[in-house]
Amino acid sequence: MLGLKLLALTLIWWSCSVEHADAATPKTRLINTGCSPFNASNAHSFFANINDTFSELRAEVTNQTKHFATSQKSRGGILTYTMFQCRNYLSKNDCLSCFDTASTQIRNCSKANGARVIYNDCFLRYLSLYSPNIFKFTFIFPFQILSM
Amino acid sequence: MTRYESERFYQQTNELGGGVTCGNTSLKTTRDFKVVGQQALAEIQTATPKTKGFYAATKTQVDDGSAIYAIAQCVETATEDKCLSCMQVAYNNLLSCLPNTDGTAYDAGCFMRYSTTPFFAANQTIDIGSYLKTGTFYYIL
Repeated sequence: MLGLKLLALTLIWWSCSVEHADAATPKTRLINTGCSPFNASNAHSFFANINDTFSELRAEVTNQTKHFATSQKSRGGILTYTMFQCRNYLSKNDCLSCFDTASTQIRNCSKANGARVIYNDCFLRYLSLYSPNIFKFTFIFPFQILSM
Repeated sequence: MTRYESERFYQQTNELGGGVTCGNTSLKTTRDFKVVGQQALAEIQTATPKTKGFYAATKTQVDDGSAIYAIAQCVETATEDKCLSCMQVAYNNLLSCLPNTDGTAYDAGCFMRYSTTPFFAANQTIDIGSYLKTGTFYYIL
């Protein structure tokens, strides 16, 4: 129950800040960034998931010249969803450069279980959930979940 | 079991925390620029959800010699309907930026930006004419 409330709160309520200053790289500008107010419950699994999914996202851009990629990993009860997109007008190198800027920036959210960074040229988001709670809840109260 | 949360993450388009950033420079020839800008954004809003990759880029000439460069993009995991509703919010947000020379609207599942300064190459525009027609009628927004 608490897990689901946290999930809902995480999805709709982000601590946001808007920055108008130029980002570290001259090529793209940071428009918005937000970290979830809740920390991942298992930092070790969480960081391992973040590292794995970010590597996969980067590989999709590098190997398949994709402008859009998603990746998810589950480990130690922690489920992590990630999503990256760069604007279609970018070359592969510029897209990668934006990914590198974004993936560095988003780590400022530290253990926050959800975060996003939005640039003119790309964005990166993730959400991490403690899955056993949700399995249990789904099993016991399936109709409440469906009616939400 | 995790389909519910997964869909919620990947298909979500509008959320609290979305918003708009307007440039602080305004053109002197405001009237024509504003009208043309509004038209260009309305068209890209309508066309983007209908394109294959949820992406459009246009260049629209203004009578005073300037041009408006615009792009719009939805996440590829969105549906056409969710992309459109995200575009509508972005469009309305960007209207508040006109007649300033640039503006950026962002949300969980989409992005829309315009500027009088080119930020993509001339040969990277996408012809969205075919997406704006319904039968023999054009959308009039």
